[in-house]
Amino acid sequence: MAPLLSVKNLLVEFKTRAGIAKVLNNVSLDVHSGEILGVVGESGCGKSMTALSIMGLVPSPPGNVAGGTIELNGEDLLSASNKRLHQMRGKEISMIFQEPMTSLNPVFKVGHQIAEAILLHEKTTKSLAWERSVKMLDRVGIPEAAIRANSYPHEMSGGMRQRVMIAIALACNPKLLIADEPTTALDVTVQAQIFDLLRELQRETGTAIIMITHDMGAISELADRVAVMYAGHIIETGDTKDILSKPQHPYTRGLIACVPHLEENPSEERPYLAEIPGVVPPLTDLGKGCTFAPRCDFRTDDCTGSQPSLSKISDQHSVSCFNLNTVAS
Amino acid sequence: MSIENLLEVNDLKVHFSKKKMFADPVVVHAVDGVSFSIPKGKTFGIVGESGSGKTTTALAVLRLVGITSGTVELGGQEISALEGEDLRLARRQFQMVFQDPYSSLDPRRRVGDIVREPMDLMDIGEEDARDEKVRELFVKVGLRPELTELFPHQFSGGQRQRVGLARALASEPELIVCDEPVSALDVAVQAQILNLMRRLQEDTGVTFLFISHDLGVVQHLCDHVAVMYLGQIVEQADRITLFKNPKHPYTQALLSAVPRVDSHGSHTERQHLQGDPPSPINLPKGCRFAGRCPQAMAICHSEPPALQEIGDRHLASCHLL
Repeated sequence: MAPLLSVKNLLVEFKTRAGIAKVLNNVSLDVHSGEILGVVGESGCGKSMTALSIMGLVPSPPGNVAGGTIELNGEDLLSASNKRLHQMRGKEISMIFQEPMTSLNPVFKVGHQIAEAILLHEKTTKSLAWERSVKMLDRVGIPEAAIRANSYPHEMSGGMRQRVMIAIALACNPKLLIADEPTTALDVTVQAQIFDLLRELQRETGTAIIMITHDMGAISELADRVAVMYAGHIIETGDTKDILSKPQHPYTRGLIACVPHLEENPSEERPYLAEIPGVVPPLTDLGKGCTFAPRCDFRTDDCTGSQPSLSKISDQHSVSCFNLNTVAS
Repeated sequence: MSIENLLEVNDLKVHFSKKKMFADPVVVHAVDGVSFSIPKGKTFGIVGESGSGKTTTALAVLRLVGITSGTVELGGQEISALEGEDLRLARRQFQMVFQDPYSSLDPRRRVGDIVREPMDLMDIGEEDARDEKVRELFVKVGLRPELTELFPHQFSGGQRQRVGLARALASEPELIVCDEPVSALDVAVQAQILNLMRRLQEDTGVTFLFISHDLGVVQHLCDHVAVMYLGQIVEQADRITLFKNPKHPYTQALLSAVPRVDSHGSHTERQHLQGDPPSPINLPKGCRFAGRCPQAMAICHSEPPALQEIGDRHLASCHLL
């Protein structure tokens, strides 16, 4: 089956005072209809920039898509006209952001903001669009939707606002939803509600979701497949279960081991957390070797010579590392 | 059993009242009757969602916000009763590390001076020896001593939080209050800072009051944990008991809401809380959690439950128990 979205060898560069920052290096990923792809990594690894590239929202200048292709249903998005992109955003690809307060307009009623998305993409009347937006609010689990549609964003809690954002994003039944850290600003009990909602809506509508996060727990909750990013590269990708239980890349292993995971049966023993020594390299000066090599315990001479390519180790699981055998043992 | 408690907080209340022009003033019950104690050299964690009053509790312990009633005792001294110069000098004993390492360091001062300032203000040690002390502190928190000449913007978030820890340690305090010290950091850096905190505690015997919303971090770091909801402690126990055998329905719901790495695909078994916490202005008459509690009974809506001892140093406030 052809993938819904196919990103190939994407290169994105930013001009900075310190030189050219290579924000995305040869990023390739596929998203199929009805699946949830998790993109995980630390700040600056390029996960949000991947999302912005897909939406055609890379700020330019200073940003520049220097190479690669992005295809949605076979249509090339990088060469699409602004008008065409404008039609697509909100209709075929939607996005929800981290901070639900700043992404809603404070001076319009939430019902109006949902109706706006519908009116922009469909030929319908204002009153019908308003009815649809009430229905959307009901569907994302806001009680007394007909009344709450008349509320302004400041009258709602963070969780409610994120529900409104989801309602706006899904109002026109997009094929792809990009969720950029959708629950990072929310409390855990509310986060659990939003996860339930996303999962339920996804099952109903079959919308594909790209979920961007730094939280492996969130990945485990929602994603079918995962791509792990580091310094602008995808360094490991595979089924969530495989990545979480059998991570192969030293960075993925470190990322899972360094988080204190909540255990149901904590023991008296408390070993120190695993640390990944050092810091992320500056994107303006990545060198030609593996970007993770300076921080890697398994570094060999090969690693400083060239960036390893993403190679398959099983049908679904790909890793970019020269020393998989030594890492595994 | 005689455990020497460094910090004793007794029935602490912090209410903020907001004056209204044509109506009665509105009272926000940010902290409403909180009691706990921390043994010397241990780490006490307070967890809760936003608005639960955990940060206000920390600020009240530090005397950075007015205390409405209740007492705070540190090493036998009642710091809630101190004023003026006495309070300023007592501050040597309790220091703080803040959440945001980007806004808690003065951007126009060299980090060495930032770390030195508490020693100057409190007149600690010989003046000539202070710069040497600053370099020692830098080594202690894992920074190279020659970095003292740099400015905060030249550091990464993790390094800045190390500077924040060095500043807190400068006056050799008994207690360091950490308000979400790692929540602004990436996970790899977070692990470095958490390990550093544990090593510092082993070296210096400092006591930590640790505020966080991240249950995984609290379980890893803290010896004793209190769960707050709407200004009150609803459950409190040592870390093993609290996480293994949570009794309060809110604690249970909070624990079950945390996404787990090892539970892929098993999310359907969990029950989730509905709705949001009520406002701390118009508090419900009975149990504050009753409106969201899956097991609420009639009595829960009419009478607030008392915090009762249900095991060895295990307290919970719920009518079900």
